Parts: sequence; C-alpha cells; structure tokens
Amino acid sequence: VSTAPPTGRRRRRYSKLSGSDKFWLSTMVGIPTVIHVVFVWLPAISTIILSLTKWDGIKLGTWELLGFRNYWTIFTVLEDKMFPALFNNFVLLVWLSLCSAVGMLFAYLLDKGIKGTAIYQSVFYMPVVLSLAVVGFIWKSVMFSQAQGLFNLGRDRPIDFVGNAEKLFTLHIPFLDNPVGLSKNFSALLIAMAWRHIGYVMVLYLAGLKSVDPSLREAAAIDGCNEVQSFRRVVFPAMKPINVVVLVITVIEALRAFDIIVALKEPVGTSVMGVLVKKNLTGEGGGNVGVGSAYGVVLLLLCLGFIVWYLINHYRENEL
Amino acid sequence: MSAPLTLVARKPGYSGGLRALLYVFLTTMALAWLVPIGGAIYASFRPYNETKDKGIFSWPDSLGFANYRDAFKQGDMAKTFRRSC
Repeated sequence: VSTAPPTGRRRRRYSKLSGSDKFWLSTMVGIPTVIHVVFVWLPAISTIILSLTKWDGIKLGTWELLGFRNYWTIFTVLEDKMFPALFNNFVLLVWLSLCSAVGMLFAYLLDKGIKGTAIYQSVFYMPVVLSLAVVGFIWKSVMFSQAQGLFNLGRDRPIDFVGNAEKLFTLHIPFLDNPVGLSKNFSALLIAMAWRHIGYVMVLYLAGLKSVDPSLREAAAIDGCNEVQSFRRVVFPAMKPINVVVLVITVIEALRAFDIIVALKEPVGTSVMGVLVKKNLTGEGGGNVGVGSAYGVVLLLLCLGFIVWYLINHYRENEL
Repeated sequence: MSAPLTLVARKPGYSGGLRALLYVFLTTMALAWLVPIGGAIYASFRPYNETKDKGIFSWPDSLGFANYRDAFKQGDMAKTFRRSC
C-alpha cells in the first residue's frame, strides 16, 4: 500500500463559492482596490518619481531627470528652510502632546459627576467643528489683532503676534550652519491650535473613561489607592485603545499642520513641512515640482517611520 | 443585633471645597474657551468701522444684521451654500 500522495492529474479545488459569489466578491474587493491605488498609491509613487526630476509643473513631458540633486538641495544650505520647518513640526508635536494631556485632564474632571457636564463638554468641543484655517482667522482678528485683539487690549504699543518672527529661543545643532529656533509668532499659533486640539482629545478620553469598568476603580479604591495612583496604575492602562488613537491623532496633526499657517499667509518663521511642499509646488510661472516633491517624500518617510514603529509594537504585543 | 457590615466604595467625585474649586476651574476655562468665538460672533453684529475704532471688546453703539445681509448679497452666499450641499 502506497501512502504517497496522488501525483497524477491535479484535483479540482473544492470551492464553496458559486460563480456569482465570485463575481460579487471580486467586484467588492476590486473597486475599493482600484480607488485606493488610483488615489493613494499613484500620487505617492509619482511624488517619489517627480522628486528625482526638475519640472515646472506646467507641461507634461518637460521634466528632466536629476537624480538626488533635489534632496541635496533641501538638505544643505542651498535652501536653508527644511531644518527650521522640521523643528517647527517637532515643537508642534511636543506641544500637541502637552495639549493631549490637558485634554485628558479636562475629560477626567468632567467625568466626576459634574452638574451641567454637557454644557462644559459642548463648550470645550465647539472649536473642533471649525477647520484650523477658520481657527486661525478667528484668533488673528479677535485675539491677536494689533488694533482690536484681546491680547493687545490696553497696550500702548501693541504686539504684532502674527508678524513677529523674533526667536523665543534658538538651538545650535552641530552640523547646521544656522541655528533653529521657535519664533514668537509660531508660539502664538500654537496657542490657537491648542484651543482646538484640547477639545478633540477631551471628547475621545470622555468616551474612554466611560468604557473603563467601574469595578476596576472600586477595586483600586478598596486596595487603598489614592486618586493619582488609581488613575496612573488602573484607569490609564485600561484606556489603552484610546491612548493609541490619541497618540496617532497627535502625531498626524503635528506632521500635517498646514492650513492655519497658509490661511494666515505664511508668516515668517512659522513654516512647517506642509507649507514648504505647497510653496514649491505652486508659484507664479510654474512651481518647482521636483523640490516640492522632495519635501513631500521627506514628510512621507517621517510618517512611514512612525507607522512602522507603531505597527511593530502593535503586532509584537498582540502575539504575546 | 448588629448592623450588617457593608463595604461602601467611595463614589468617584469630590466633596466640599475641592468640588467648589473644580467648578471654579471648569467655569473659568469654559469662559476662556468662549472668548475667541464669542468675540467673532459679537463683532459680526457690529459695523466694521465701529469695531475698527473702538476694538472688539467695547460697548456697542449699534447692533444689527447688516453684515449678514452684505455677506449674503455681496458674497453670494446662497450659491456657496448650494455648493456645500
């Protein structure tokens, strides 16, 4: 008796799916795939290719291949703009993380059985429904305006919050010719962004706190945890899914920051990566598509780095 | 007969002075949150020249919907609304 598997004619694979099942399945998978490829992968890949060329963005086919010269341009002093912009993005990341913590505090306090908690929640959440560009306009005219802004009320010599590119502090980074630093007007914009971000994070954490099993808190209280311990050791770890969402949102908001700065006509000293991309892609008489794309690719790599780090952590934990 | 022993976990919340402090803090923050958008809404009811002369945070001489009328007519807001839909 031979136990070897039959090697003769291939057996037909058994399938539970009928012909029309297969048709609908491939349609349902195919259409989103096509949309995804056309609107996500195609632009991403063409950006990478365009970053290796010199093109004014007007006529197709007039590009010439440059190799990595665009990257050489943006990473060296030829265009001393990227590191200040990256630094601003980094400051934004630190600042928005702080804002996330404040949002968490607000949510924690509002979860204490406050009377009229719905009113407080609506007030803090309200800026989130406005786009960041509108937030910029509102803060520029109501708070920062030299003639009528709240922060300039009763000042003899009004402060130009949006125009003052003086640095609050500068950092000398060894291999850079010019120091990078945080300008005063960018920190003014940070306050406007905080106004929106805190409410956003607060709502997420309110949902998170509601989802924490009350018996966990009870157990912590019976075991003699004080409030801080109970939050740090029990409630906060129990909210892990929300923490991850908030982390992702914070990083994405910091990397994609763009609209508020462009809406305020790109004040000096406030450039971030997104603004550099736009500035080079568009312009009178055609843009500098190659350099703009190179900035875009750097931004893409930053995002990818974060996503890869996140996925590795995520899967490693789920394996255990 | 002794009363049955019960463990009562403290309800999440504060009492007395701490609670009052919490309300003061939250109300202050909520009012601060309303200033930018409140200022924008308030200014929308006043003629621009008045805001320019006296600033946003001042008593109004005249209030009205003139700005809204202008925005609707000159800014052709009906069209933009249709587009948003």
